[in-house]
Amino acid sequence: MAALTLCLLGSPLLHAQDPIHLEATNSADRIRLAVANFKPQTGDANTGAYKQTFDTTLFSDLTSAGLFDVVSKDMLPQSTPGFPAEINLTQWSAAPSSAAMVAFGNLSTQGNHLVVSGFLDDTKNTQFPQVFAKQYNEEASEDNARQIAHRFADEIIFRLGGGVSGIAETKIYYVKILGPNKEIYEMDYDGANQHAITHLGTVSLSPRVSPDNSRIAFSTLGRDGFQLKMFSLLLNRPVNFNSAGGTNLSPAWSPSGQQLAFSSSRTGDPEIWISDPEGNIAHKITAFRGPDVSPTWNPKTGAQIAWISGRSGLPQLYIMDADGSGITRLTDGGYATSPSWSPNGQFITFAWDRKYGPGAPGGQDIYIMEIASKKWIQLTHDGGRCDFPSWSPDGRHIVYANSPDGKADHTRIMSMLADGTQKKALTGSGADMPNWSWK
Amino acid sequence: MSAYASSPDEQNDHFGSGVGGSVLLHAVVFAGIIGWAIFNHLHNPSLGETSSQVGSIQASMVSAIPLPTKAPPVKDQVLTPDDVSKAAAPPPKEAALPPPKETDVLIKAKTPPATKTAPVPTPAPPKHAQPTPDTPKANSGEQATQLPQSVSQTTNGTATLTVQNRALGLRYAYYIRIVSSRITQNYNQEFPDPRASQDKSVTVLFDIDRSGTPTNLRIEAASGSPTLDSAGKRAIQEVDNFGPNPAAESIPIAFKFDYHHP
Amino acid sequence: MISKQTLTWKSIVLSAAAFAAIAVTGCHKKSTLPPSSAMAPDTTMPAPTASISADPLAIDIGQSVVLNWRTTNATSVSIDGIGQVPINGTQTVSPANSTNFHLVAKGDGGVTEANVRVTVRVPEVPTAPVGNVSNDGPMGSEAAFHQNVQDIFFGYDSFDLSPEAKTSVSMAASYLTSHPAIKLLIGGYCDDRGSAEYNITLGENRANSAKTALVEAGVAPGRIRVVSYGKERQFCTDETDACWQQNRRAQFSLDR
Repeated sequence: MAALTLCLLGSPLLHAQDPIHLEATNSADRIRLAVANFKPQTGDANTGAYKQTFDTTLFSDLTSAGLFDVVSKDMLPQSTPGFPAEINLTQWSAAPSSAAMVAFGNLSTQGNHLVVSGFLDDTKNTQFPQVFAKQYNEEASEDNARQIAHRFADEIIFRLGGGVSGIAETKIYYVKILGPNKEIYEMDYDGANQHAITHLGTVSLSPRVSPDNSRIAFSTLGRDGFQLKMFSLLLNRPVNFNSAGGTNLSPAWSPSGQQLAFSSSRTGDPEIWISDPEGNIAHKITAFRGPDVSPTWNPKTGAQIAWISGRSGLPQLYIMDADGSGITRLTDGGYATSPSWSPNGQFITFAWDRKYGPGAPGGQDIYIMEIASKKWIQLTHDGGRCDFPSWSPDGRHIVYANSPDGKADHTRIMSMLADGTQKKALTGSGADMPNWSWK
Repeated sequence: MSAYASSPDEQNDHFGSGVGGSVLLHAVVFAGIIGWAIFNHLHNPSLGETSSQVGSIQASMVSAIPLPTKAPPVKDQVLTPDDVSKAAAPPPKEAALPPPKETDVLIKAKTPPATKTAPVPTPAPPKHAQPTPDTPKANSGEQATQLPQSVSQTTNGTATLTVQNRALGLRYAYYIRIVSSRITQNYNQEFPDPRASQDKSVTVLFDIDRSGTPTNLRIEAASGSPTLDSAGKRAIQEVDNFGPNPAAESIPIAFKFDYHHP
Repeated sequence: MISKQTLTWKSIVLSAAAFAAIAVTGCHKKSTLPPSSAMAPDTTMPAPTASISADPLAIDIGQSVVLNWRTTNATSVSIDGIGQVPINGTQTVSPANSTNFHLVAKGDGGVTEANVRVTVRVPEVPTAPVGNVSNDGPMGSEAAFHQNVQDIFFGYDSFDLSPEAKTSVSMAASYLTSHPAIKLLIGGYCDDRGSAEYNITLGENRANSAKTALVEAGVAPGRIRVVSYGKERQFCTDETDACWQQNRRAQFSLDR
């Protein structure tokens, strides 16, 4: 009797949203790609160091792209072809490398320039093997060796990705925890090259880069609480943003770059507002008692906004049209926060504690929901507290904040493929709220 | 549910008129919420669910998400002879062979080109009927009878891509494989009505323009099952771009979806 | 399996009834409830247990102390000088004199008491007893301010004022009305769980709840500045219930 009642009660409560059920697909069909070590053309020590950086970066970029079955380096043929004439394709297509594609090339320092020639060959096409050839010429530096590798990797992905662009040249903006203060930082997509953007000596949160990579909107704690600020990456200094009363936070760029949605309590209750990028022409699009925060635009259409509302108690995920109409609730319980809308417009990733509450053992994890069906999938499990997921521009990766032991100052930034695989830490402790650039 | 309701009721009895209706209401709501929280807490382990993964699912993806694991459900192979230049013996048409499966096709592709016995364009009934014309577009002097092809096994049949330009298909075989893989990923196999579509097939034609965008999409041979036709068309419509077209001209493609639910 | 389910079910009913009882007593200050018939299966309830602690145990006048108490099997808990309190909880107090905090936990199985003594070190020249007299300039003394304008605490994910909070607010309002020179800063805080952005809006709502109550009690809105900190700049960073409750507050301070 008791069990029966439990079932009757339980089914609508626990399973109102069916998880996504899918048959597993065979993932063995990624293009098998061999990445040869590049051949140094000059013998100095610098070239050797650049080559090391280049090889490591290129291999890492192509592996983490999630598009290829990259041949492990110890299965590669011994030879190091530097030019198309030097490669014996059958050597690469044969076991154990069994590669369908080979990336190879050469590298040299000429004066203070680093010159890299990269090639991509189709091993199955003996007559016309070359897919493309590309030469790069930059001032010689470790950072440029890495950037050239990123560009070559992105070129390979562009050619073989079936319409997806690479992300090796994209940036991640985030919050660096510095004692009681927090500043906005920037790093490469793979965690390299971390450096400060702001030096405000207070708490700055929620960095959001504009679609054209020219500005970062964020919010900063001042005398009147959190206020929106704008920082120009082109001018490398703060630029004007008209503030208003109340608490203003969690900015979100429309895909056109012409509008900013954010949470503002200038009229009392925190609601979602929209203004232009200078903070003018602000108008309110929600009107309901309770917190409204963390908007994110549909980057595909620019016509819808997802956000978090506490209007019914614990924070839940909602979507609406950008004029405030057509409100739909997507989550049916728990504690949902920090949505990010996928580039193709079909999915929202967000943080969710499905068993939040006193005495509840719930963990906060990263989820993806398919908007049309409200079906969801859980991407992180038992890895500690997770929050602030943000999609990569190719829609294949998600960066997020993770605290293995739940302590705020132990939070670090991690990335994973959007199916939850290939999780890796991009930073050490003390980094939070990542935001992936649009391109 | 009755248990939740009963306890506040009884309190009401004890309080009599001293407790206002609103207090009762609050108590009911509060008790309900707390009861539910406790119920959840107690209930979950009793179902044998792990604390971290109630109602969760395997890490597989809906077919529409552009994810790495979402590779096409099967091996697809381009029927591309490695040596285009070899003048293959004219394939005996209508060879009395079993309907070519993708493995046959593969083997044929990999075996010496001289032994090409199962021509793809053969309109063999069950699978693989490839109603391609003898490529009027073949602009090279090569044999136009056999067209480069990529066959994928889906859970509900097969998907066959034919490049209606032999030279382009052979030269840019890698690109054709990518195109085939994208379309197969997009093909919603759940959509076609199983009964109406069983053993039917639809062929859609389109061109990949120089930027890699599919254009000029049309159905060449309707299946007679509107849902199958629609699923086939949509598999291509959902692609904005296949990536840069390596050829300096548009590539004509025929894509055939065979529906056969096992 | 059956017996486990039955047990489970029983405890659900009990808990629901217990919580309903607390909710009712909390609103109406009724001391006890006769056990409802839903509780009938367990007539032999164990006696309540109770403990109370204070941190720190000794303070200078004007400083505050966090009381932390735990009870089991209790349906009604009160602390002398504070009144009805939740069965488990924490509260920050600023006693003017050394005080014995006496906790009484009543349950169906009996009554249990617990004590903790907080020593207040009074400076050589004792300040005047706290009252409505300002003897420290127009802003009044810091100690008198904190004695009369006490932080208010909120429930889990809530920004509604509890009855206790309303009492605090009316006390604060009368003090502020009699000290018109005081300008007030209300800080909205949240505990460390939950998400940073959402918590800032929740803290904003908490601080605004306090402000609205003060304004309704006659304090001019122009005297009040509201800042929501969310979970930033928290003083208590432990992962404990006591710390979390301490952080779910609207904090009042002099806005100098």
